[in-house]
Amino acid sequence: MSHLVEAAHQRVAYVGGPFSIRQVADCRDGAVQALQRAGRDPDDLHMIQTAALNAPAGQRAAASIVGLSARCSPTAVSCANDLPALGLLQEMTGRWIRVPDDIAMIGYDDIEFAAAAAVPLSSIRQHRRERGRTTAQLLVSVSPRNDTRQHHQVIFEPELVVRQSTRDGPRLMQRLPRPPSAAEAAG
Amino acid sequence: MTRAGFDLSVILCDSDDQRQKETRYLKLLEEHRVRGVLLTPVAGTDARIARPQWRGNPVVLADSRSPLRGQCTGLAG
Repeated sequence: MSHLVEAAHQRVAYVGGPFSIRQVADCRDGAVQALQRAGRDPDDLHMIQTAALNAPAGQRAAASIVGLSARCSPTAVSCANDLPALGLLQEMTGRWIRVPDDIAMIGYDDIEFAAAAAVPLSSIRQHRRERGRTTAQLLVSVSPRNDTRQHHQVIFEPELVVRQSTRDGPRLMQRLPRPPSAAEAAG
Repeated sequence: MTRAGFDLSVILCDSDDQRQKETRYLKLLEEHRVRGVLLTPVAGTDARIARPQWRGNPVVLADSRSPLRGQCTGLAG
């Protein structure tokens, strides 16, 4: 989300769901927090909750975005994972809406198909191998044979992977001054 | 699968994002008296596994956060 905000996108949509999945709710909350950190009103985020995290859900989200008036239509979309993002991309390009020129989009997870999409999809890469290794080490460290009872919570930083789908930012918006952040506004 | 160095065998269970399958596999692992469970819970942390020990064995939650102190977890930031 910060990546989209920094690219001067004024109207951003979030696509994902159901929010009963904790990881999806966390991702949505992170998007809201990123807007707040940038001094923006979190209500500006156009929320599209999907019933599932798959490509058809992304296609349906695209149809609802296209149905919005030009004044409300987002210039960028952040998706809870790559599958709805790929569905969104397919539907938008099928309607001759250019990505990223007309609308930018980013997924999450950086699956193999993200880089291979017709418009390579920006995404967030998780270091799964490292996570697997670390969690196995945690398991061994608390095994009965190694009774140290040292418990840990490890948080892994994901990595932003910028590809064509978010390149350059919105052409029109680039000419506008960036809104001041909360800190700048206060100062 | 065997992890050399620890003399451990690995049993891999795919819950396919289904609670029913997860429950069945946890029961299977219990019957196998496994030495520990590394688990990505289907939908958040469940009371069945939200404890540092499950059937006397250590539990590490992956991609999940424990509501309890003193439980090992590894999650994406």
